[in-house]
Amino acid sequence: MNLGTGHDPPRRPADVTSSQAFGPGAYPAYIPGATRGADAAEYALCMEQLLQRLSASKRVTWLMSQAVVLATACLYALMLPVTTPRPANGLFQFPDLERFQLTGLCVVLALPVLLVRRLPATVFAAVLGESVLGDVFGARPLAVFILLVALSGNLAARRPKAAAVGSVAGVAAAFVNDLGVPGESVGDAAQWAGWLAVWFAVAWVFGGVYRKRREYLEALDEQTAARVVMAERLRIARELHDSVAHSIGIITVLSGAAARVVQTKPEQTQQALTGIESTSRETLLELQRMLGALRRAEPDDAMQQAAPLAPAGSLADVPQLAERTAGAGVRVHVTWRGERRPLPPEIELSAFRIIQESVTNVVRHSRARTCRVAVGYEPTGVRIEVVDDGDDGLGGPGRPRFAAGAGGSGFGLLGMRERVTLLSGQFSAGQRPEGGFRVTASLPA
Amino acid sequence: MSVRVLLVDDQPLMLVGLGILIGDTDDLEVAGEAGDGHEAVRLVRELRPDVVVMDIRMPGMDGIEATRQATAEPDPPKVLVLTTFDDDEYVYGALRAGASGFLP
Repeated sequence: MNLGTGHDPPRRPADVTSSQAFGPGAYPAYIPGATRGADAAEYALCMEQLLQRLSASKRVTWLMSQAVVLATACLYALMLPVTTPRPANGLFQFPDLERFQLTGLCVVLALPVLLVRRLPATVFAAVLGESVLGDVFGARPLAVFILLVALSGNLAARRPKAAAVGSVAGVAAAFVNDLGVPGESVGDAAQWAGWLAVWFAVAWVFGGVYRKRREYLEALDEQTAARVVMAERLRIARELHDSVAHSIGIITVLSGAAARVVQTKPEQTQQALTGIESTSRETLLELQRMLGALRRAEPDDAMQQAAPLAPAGSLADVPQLAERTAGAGVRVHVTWRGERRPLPPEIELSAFRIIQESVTNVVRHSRARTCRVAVGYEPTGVRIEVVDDGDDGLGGPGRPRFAAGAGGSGFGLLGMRERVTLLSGQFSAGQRPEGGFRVTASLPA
Repeated sequence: MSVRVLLVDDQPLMLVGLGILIGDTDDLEVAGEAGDGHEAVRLVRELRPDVVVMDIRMPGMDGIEATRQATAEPDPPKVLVLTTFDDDEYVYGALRAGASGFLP
């Protein structure tokens, strides 16, 4: 039974770049905290490698399933003439065909199988049609029923209800058609349909088991991603505690002391006030650096270091991004909805970064030649959608076209999700059922 | 006779602030100041203070280990631990090490 065709199309290798900006070397941190920070960084690194390996194995899985689909189609084409009863067997009314005619017919009949990954239900229906046609013409190759059972299993792995309906239809068609075969009694037809029903049921169960397994793996992936994000947050919290909270504690004590002795000991008061001043100043710098690191999308963003005062990006830069991307071979259609208005810089920057990252992913990881960017201004905020149609024809995702695209910010899907979450927005990214990839984000403003 | 206090903190400005506060209180006096755990333990032996105000997170020997060593001395001082946040891990660690109380 060919359940291999039910493999999920591989997802884009998620760029799990937990931003290196918070690496253990980024801050001359406090020693106890620093060692724990290093552990967390190591942990995040392990997770990153694990995820990369997972995505690599997904690509292998994808290739394997493509091969299985092709092999199934070829085998089907070969088995059709072999398993078709000869005219001498009595129930065959099919006109004699030349060898090349027969070959052509078998190839044509096997062609729909190639589409099974994209349109499992349609392909099932087509092969069901083939089986009915075969019965109508009196040719009843066993291969078509074997394939039908396999396809129902494949369909059950994705759409269990459709598979159940299809199986019932297949059994019913087989029963009705068998009644029409000369020399077959109702009992014979029922027996034949019963056997087929058993096989369909087995295929359905296998498909269901496969589906559960896939759902479990997806949930596992999500959990892993959530853990990476969690580790990152814990590290940020620790940095904040180590630098800022400690300084505020010092300022509290110093100001209390200054208030206490302000009348009696001017020298000590001055000493305390000077201490407050220098500590506050350091804390402010520390905060700026930390917030800068939090906002910075790219760990080694040269632009940020060279000109920190330059605006880092906004939605107004999207058309330029589209032009640049066209130069990399992907046309970007940008549509604007709602009344355009300036948004807070954080929102503008994040929205732009998400579009930039998503478009770069299209260039890097898909074979699509076009992608659509939609920016919708709503009363409560802004909504972004970046959609591509996947591969335009043969081939599939996961094949890099350019090693470096139009300058991605490199923080990946996880980074985008975290950025949106920090801004209390909503984020989704995933394969579209009709092929391609979709990234959406809603940012309140 | 006033209570003699040893201040232990790796942040010099914290020592300044605490020093001013204690110096301004009639029945308290600063016996000494230490910047890390090793120095704290040495000064406990040398100066025999009544109270040690101890920071927990310090480079070198941390406050918990210093508390353990200081309270293991004959006629040990009372140790008050300074924390920015009441991190459970530190609180229990320091109490097990013999600290008498906390100054959050």
